[in-house]
Amino acid sequence: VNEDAFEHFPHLLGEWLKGSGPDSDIVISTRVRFARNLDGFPFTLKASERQRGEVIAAVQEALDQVSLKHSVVTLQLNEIEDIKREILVERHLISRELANSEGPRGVTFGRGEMLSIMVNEEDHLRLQWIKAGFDIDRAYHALCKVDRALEKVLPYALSERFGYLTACPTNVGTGMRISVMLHLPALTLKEQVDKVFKAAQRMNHAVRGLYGEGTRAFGDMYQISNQTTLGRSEEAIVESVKAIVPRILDTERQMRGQLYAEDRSLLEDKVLRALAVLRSARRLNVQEMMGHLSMVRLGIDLGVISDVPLRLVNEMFILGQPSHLQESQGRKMSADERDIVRAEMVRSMLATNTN
Amino acid sequence: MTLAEFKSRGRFGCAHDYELFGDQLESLLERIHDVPTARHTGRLPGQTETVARRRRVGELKSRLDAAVREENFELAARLRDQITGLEESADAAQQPSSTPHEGSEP
Repeated sequence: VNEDAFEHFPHLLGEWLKGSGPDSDIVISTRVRFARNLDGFPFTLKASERQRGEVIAAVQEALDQVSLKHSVVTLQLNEIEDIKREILVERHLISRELANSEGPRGVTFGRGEMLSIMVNEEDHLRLQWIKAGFDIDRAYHALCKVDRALEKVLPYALSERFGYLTACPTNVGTGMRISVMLHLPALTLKEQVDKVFKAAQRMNHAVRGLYGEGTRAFGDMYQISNQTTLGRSEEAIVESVKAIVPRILDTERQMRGQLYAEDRSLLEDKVLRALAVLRSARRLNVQEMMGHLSMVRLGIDLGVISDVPLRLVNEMFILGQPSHLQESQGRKMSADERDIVRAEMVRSMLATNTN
Repeated sequence: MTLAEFKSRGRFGCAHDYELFGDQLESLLERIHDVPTARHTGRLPGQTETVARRRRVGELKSRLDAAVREENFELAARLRDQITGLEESADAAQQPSSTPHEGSEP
């Protein structure tokens, strides 16, 4: 099962990228993650090579017992090339930290790329479920099922007092993190993102740019997640994220409407120029591509662009990332070369997939 | 692992460290998680949510009684909020739910 997993990667995308689901005009995806550790082993950072191997073996055996093994792909990350690990990061199947760390570590994911189980990240197990759109309930319940099957066969590290024990004290308790990926172009254009960040922070939620360094978010993609995991029940955390996200969605929609009402031709110009660049450019770096795709996505929502499906925007966004691009060509490329190939790919995808 | 080692790395070495540093940890955890008491109020393996919640509410209520006795009204108010929060999520959970469950991946 190992290597063939990558064959479809340059073409097919996970379920959560299909551009559907509740509030898909703004919300790309909802991810729920549980951090779990196995009793009897030091946490990953303190575990020896041999112990890490034993953790992997224990998890594999458990997956076998709960008959999860057949619908999933398992990869030993220390045994695959760097570029393959990068692809998994670009697809949100593993974390950057897991890709860059050392020693025995792995990932098991479902064919639809909704379920992903990272092994020997900072915690022995990081279970996550991703759904398209704003859909906490589905993601949460699906992940609970997996967790409850695994808890019957794996001895989780627990305490009555502190709940699920994790390597970092910021995850202890429920070990649960809900992250909602948002596209906020209007709030960004209106320079209102900081205000939203601060309001979210006051309610114990963190907002950060998903791509790009520091505060500059490429493609206007942001992620909001609960910051606290202890002293609140799982339901209370679910409810808190459910309460805060719609407020951000309201503000973004309001701003979109305002931008359109204030100066329609200016906005149409921005959006259609972005599409024109994507259709004609001979060189595109990844930031540029993400920036233009952000405007096209906005244009689709406002009805300014009607011949580009949302799914296609998502596809270009992921397939245009550096490692996906190199995998599709089957070779390493310089940044310059990638810019040329990226522009070619975007042009041809727009030419063949538009209505 | 020593407490100094934890402080420099920000990570624990193993589950046992929580027991080891438990009492020194409480205030740190209360600060990180912005809660009046560093106690897990979620589910544990093998428990249904209802059982877990009932147990936590019971525990919090006895802490509330103690806080009132000690006339620590600030803590009492925060504990009361925490209890209300748990009871509200219990009410929400009892509503007939139309949440579709999704088991396996396509």
